[in-house]
Amino acid sequence: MNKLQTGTLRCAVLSALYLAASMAHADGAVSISQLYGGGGNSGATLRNDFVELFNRSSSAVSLSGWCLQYASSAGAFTLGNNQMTPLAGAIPPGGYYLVQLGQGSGGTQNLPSPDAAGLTLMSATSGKLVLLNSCATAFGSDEPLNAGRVVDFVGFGAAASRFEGSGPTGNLANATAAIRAQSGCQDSDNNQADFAVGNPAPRNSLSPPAQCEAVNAPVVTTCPATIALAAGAGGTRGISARDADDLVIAGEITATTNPGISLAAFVPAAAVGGAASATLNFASALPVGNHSVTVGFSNDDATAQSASCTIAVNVAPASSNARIRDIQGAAHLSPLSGQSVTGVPGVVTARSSNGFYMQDTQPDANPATSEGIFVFTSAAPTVALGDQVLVTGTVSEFRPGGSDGTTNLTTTEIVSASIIVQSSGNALPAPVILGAGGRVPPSRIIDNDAAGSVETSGTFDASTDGIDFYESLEGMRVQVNQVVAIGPTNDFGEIAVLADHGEGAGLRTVRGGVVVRADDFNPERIILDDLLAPTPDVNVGDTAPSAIGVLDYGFGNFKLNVTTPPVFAANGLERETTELSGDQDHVTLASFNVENLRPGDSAEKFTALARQIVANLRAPDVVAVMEIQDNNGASNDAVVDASQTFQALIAAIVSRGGPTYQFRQINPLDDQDGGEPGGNIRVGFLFNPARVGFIDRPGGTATASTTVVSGTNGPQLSASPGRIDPTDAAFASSRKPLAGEFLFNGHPLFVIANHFNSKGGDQPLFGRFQPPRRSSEVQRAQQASIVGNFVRSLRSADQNAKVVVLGDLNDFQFSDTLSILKSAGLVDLVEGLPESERYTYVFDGNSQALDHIMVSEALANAALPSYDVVHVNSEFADQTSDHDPEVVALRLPVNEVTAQLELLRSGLVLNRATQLFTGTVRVSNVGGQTLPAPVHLFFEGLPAGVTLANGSGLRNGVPYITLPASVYPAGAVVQVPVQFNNPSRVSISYVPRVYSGQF
Amino acid sequence: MKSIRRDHALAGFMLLICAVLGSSAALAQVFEVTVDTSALAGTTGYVDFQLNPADVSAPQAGASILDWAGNITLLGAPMVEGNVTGTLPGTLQLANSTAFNDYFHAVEFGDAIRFVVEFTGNSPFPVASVGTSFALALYDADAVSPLLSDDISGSLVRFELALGELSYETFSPVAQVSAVPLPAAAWLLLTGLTGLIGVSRRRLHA
Repeated sequence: MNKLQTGTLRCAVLSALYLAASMAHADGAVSISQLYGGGGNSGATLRNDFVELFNRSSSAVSLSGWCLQYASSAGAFTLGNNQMTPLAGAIPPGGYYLVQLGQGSGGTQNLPSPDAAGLTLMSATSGKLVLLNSCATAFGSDEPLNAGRVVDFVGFGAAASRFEGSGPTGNLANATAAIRAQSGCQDSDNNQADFAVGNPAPRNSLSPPAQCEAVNAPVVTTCPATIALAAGAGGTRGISARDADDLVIAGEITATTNPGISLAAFVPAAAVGGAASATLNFASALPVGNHSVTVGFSNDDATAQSASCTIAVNVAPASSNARIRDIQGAAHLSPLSGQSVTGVPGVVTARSSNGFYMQDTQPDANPATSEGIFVFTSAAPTVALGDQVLVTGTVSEFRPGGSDGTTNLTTTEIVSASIIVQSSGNALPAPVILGAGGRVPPSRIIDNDAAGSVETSGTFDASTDGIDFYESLEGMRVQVNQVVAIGPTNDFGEIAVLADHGEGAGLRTVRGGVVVRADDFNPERIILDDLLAPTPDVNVGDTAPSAIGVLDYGFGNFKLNVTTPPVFAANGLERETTELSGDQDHVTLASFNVENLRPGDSAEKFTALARQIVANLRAPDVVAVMEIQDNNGASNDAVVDASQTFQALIAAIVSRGGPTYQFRQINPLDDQDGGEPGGNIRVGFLFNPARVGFIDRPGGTATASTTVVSGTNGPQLSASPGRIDPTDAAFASSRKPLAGEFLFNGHPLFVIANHFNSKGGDQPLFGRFQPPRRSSEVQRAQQASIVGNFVRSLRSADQNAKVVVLGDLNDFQFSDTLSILKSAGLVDLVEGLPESERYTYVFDGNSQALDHIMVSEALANAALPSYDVVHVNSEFADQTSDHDPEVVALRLPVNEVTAQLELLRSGLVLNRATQLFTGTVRVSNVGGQTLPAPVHLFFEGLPAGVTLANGSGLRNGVPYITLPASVYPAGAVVQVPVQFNNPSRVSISYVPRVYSGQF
Repeated sequence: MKSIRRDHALAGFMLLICAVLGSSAALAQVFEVTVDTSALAGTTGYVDFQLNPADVSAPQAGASILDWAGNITLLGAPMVEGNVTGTLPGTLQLANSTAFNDYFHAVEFGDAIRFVVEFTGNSPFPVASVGTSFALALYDADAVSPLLSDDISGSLVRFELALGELSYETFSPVAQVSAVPLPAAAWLLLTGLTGLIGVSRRRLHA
């Protein structure tokens, strides 16, 4: 036993520090307690430099053979040049020892009687001192500070190149010394912390001793954390323990999971601080599996201290009965499903919250059988990346999604696993490259041979069928090179990408995506997921040099769970602005799914939507909107009115400089139209009343159906706005079509806004069942039939009826849904775009057209429709809506009939009472045809200062008089009185033009 | 010639459905206008002649007031604007070369006004869609209230010269228009030609 004195210094921290110090050096009892380099310098009182030593222990310490070595702040230690000072004698417990060093020319006082003397001239500000107990050589520049001969080391001043701990002492000066705290007791091996700068106060062997508080060092064990053994082999392992200030005298097993583990050959420590050793014996009969043993050691203290260590003992089977590829098989279901496997070898390639992936480092030559697998541990796994493990457990097929995931494929796992770590730090197996230089995914076929479940039908063809291809890589490390994003990062941190910059992929969009076609849903898409490592927010077209991870399956898709965050570079994708805008002859109509818009949405969303409508869409004359929620959004109550939602959007549009739109819509019955529960989403119209007219016809309700009726000037709606067959079963839990009558340049326009039922419920592309069943199409087909029949009614009444059917039809241009609508005489304008531009939505990286604007054949033929999908959302991680809006410009000039008329303008006589110049324009129908009423006489180009006093209105700034008669047969003559304000009495020249149609 | 004659003031539109007849018959270009002003006798007011085109691109046309008669007393000097020459009771000539050609003369009304008006121009009046109107109006002493007419123009008589036609309308029963038959018109025509020459010479000098 070796207790130190207990006395004046009672600091728990200090105790710990002393303990640390005592363990750091060969003899931690003695340290440099003060040093001073300014002796004899200008301003110094003392004539000499000095170093003071202190013995904090309770025993005298001999300095025989010890020395002090000095080096400049940046220099090396040498034995010459008076840089070394030999020491002699001993320091009593708590005693000081003064080493006088070089003398300067100044100063007024000598040091107290030195205990040793040298000639070293230390720097007054910074330098290095080492106290050695073996001095044959100079302290090396690379020699560790805890080398066996180092008793203490001090770097002083900021320039010192070496020091203990976090830094040297503070800078010294001619009149200041570095002084170890607590009278020299504090030694945490941190010069910066242990020394203060103060006036030199040298102490020698005659100075009163100091006493430092005692510490009882603990017993410390040395045991391996894990011992791996082969079954039947048995084995031994040595363990030990020591106590820095006591003797470890006992050791025994305190707990073990198996009696086949025993302790033998315990040898107590021979000296204080020495090791006590023992041997653990493992019987050859120790069964396969994970065991543990705890060994306790204790010392000879009066109250014995003890410590223990617990060792994991993993006994691996002598041989494996299956490798991963045997478990995976060339199939979607494991041929060993439900069976026990033992000693399955693999290297841990990734860890998740409840298991890990491992991969065989000795693959076979068959690419159809995966060499990777997930081991389910329920809790966080204890294995580390690079561990070579042997896994014993049960093969299981896990179908993600539980009861909701019945259309998912399964993933093959080993469950109830016992894991033997054979070695650690192994290199991970090289990833399989997807694409050039590796395995190239099929680019068109997902599956072409199954009839139902791919798990039980069809053939497993990993080279040609996408679903089999990815299955053959399940659980393996996979790398994709030259990555290009074909979808934005979604809310789940997923990014759909292509390998090799998309080389060999399907039809690419000019902006970087890939479009779906009737026979190609792009199985070459790879979806990066962030379950194991984060993924950044990216936009379509962004690129990364590579992405690496393990291949998993979930939510109907194979996913590459990246294990390293992929580093993407932005490709600068910009939001589009349409070139289409309305003018005198052109009306523009847009369709925009605004994704669950409600008054409670952020101002940012309203502002962004308004910006897109005003700037990117150039403020279309009519905007059919989908997913307008009621005034309190998804609050599931009886509120169905959405006027606040519309008004908030309109106000946002106005604040962005857009027109003051008006809106028309019909409140649905509560909770009858699907969508987010409580939201009561519906479709509606925004229209710019300065540009188009809306013909309101009463009668439209949630349940009343508008119909086509005969009007004065052709077909009209019985109710406008009005819903089409809202009570038909086809629209159960779905949005009802909204029909409205608009007028532009005298042309009646029948606009039908739609939001057909979604694709929810369809089986996934990479689902268990192939080909996937698209059950949602049934209802959409019924909806399309009803809308189609409504269009037929309009066209029956007027074969030239101008009809626009638009909205989120939730189906593709090549779908049955659209075919039904086309058969009613509608033209799907998206099909006029190049095939690579036919998309309004990006789903799992597939660019696709869900939104459509269709026009009646009369419009398609005569109105020269210009159509544009304006890509402002679907390709961006930062989305205002998940849909892109689309817009069409239709050329519908006013119907001029001037050429069919003879116009005679009389002279103009001033009435002095009214101050109006009055006369007539005689309009004679000489064209031989009856003109459709109403007919309007326009006065274009009136001189400045002249205005028409008896006009019916202005259109595009031009005054006109509407002729009242309803029919203008051939030969009819009308005298139209005209009156002008003309205060300057100028010549009233103008161009008279006559137009037919309702404004 | 097609003449549209209305015997009383019309407000609003009048729709006539009739055959448009081609007309190349010789035009009577001299008319006698009489107005029974007995209801105004003894009061003062104004007579107002205007000959205005629809705009100045109208074919050249002129009107001469000849043979001013009736027991009406002209008071003071007329107010004239535009292309107007002469003074009543002498020959008064108006031409449509500017937008507003007006002769406005204070009078004391008697029982009647009678005068002859002769129209001149590119003969017959060319087919053009921009016409010219000649109008007679009577105004109250306030110079702004039309008398004996409730036509929106305030006129009593209005002649339209356009499309190769010359037609007239009266807007009060007190106003009468009658064509002066040839050869009685010959003498007047001669006088009118003289006026036309005058107009033309002025234009040449313009």
